[in-house]
Amino acid sequence: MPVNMIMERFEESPLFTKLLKDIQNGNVDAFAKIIEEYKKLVAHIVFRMVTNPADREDLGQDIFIKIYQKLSTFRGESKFSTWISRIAYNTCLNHLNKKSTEMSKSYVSINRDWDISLSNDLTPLSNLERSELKCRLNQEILNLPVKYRMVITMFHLQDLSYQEISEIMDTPEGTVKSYLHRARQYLKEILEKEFQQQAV
Amino acid sequence: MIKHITSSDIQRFLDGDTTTMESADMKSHLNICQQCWQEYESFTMIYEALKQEPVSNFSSQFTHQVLTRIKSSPQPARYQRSPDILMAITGVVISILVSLYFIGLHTISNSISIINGNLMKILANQPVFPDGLPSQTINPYLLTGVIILMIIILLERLVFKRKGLIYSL
Repeated sequence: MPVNMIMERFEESPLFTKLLKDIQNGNVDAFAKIIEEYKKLVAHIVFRMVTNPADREDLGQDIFIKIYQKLSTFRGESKFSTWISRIAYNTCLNHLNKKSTEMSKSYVSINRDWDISLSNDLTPLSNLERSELKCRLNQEILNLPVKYRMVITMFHLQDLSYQEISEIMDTPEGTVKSYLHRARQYLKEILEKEFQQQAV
Repeated sequence: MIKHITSSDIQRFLDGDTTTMESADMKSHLNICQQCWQEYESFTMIYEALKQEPVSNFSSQFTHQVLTRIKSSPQPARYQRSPDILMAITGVVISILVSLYFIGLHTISNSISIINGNLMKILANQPVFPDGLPSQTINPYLLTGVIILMIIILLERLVFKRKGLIYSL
C-alpha cells in the first residue's frame, strides 16, 4: 500500500485524535507513536535533500522537535502528513542555505550536465538491468537541484498530488509539474547517454 | 509527416494528467510509432525505478533520542498553546476595558452592575439611555455585541480547537 494511503488511514483513526490530545496535555511519550508513524516520511525528505550523512540524523531529530513544539498550531486545514512534510522541507532548506556550498555545488553540477544534447540514436533504457538502473538513478537524483529532488521524492515515493507538493514547497502547481518533467527528462537523458557510452 | 508525442506529453500521460481524448490519441499513436514507443518505454522504466525505495532510515535509537531531547527542553507542549488563548483573553479584556472607558465608569462593581442593567434593558426592549447618549460614549448595542462576539470567539477557540466556524470564516 502506498505510504500516503497508510498515513491517511492513520490520520482518520480515533487513535490519532487521542494522541494529539494526549501530547497537547503534556504526555511526551505519546509523541513516540507519531515519530514511529512519520519517521519514514521525514527520512525520505532528509535523505534526498541532505547529502552529508553526518547531518541527517541530527536534522531528523530537529524536525521532530519542531513538530512537537508546533503541534498546537496544526489546525487540520491540510493533512497532518502534508504539514509534517512542510516542516521537514523548510528545515532542510534552512540547513542547506546555511551550508551554501552544498546548494551551489548542486546547481553547478546540474547546469553542467543539463546541456547534454539528446542524440536521435539513443538506446532505450529497457536494455539496462533493473537493479542497475535503480542504483544509478538514485545516484543521479542526488545530482539534481534540491527542489527537483524534492518533487521527485514527494511525487514518486510519497504519492503526493501536485497540489500537496505545491502546498509543501509553497510553489505554484505549474512550477511543480515543470520541475517534475525536467527532472525526469534529465534522469532519462543522463542514463541513456551513460548506457550508450558503456555499449561503445 | 507524422507528429510525434513530446516527452512532456508522455510524462503527462504517465502522471494521469491528460484528458480521455488526449490519452486515446496517444495510445493509438504509440501503437503505430516505434520511435515514440521507445521513448514511452524509457519513461516507464524511469517511473518504475523512481518508485523503488532508496536506503533512507534513521538509526534504531532515533525515537528514543528525540524523546530525550524533548524531555530535557524546558517547555512542555501544552504551554505552546498559550499564545492563541492568551491573545483571545487579552482581546476580550481590552474590549471590556475600552467599553468601560467610553461609558465613563471607574469601578469594576459599577461596571458590572451597569453592563448587567444595560443587558436587562436591551433584553426587555427598553431604551438604555432614555435621555440620550451621554458624552464620551459609543453605541451600547454595538459595545454589547462586540463583547458577546469576543466571548463567543474565545469559547469557540477553546472548545473547537481544530476547526471553529468563526475561525474558518
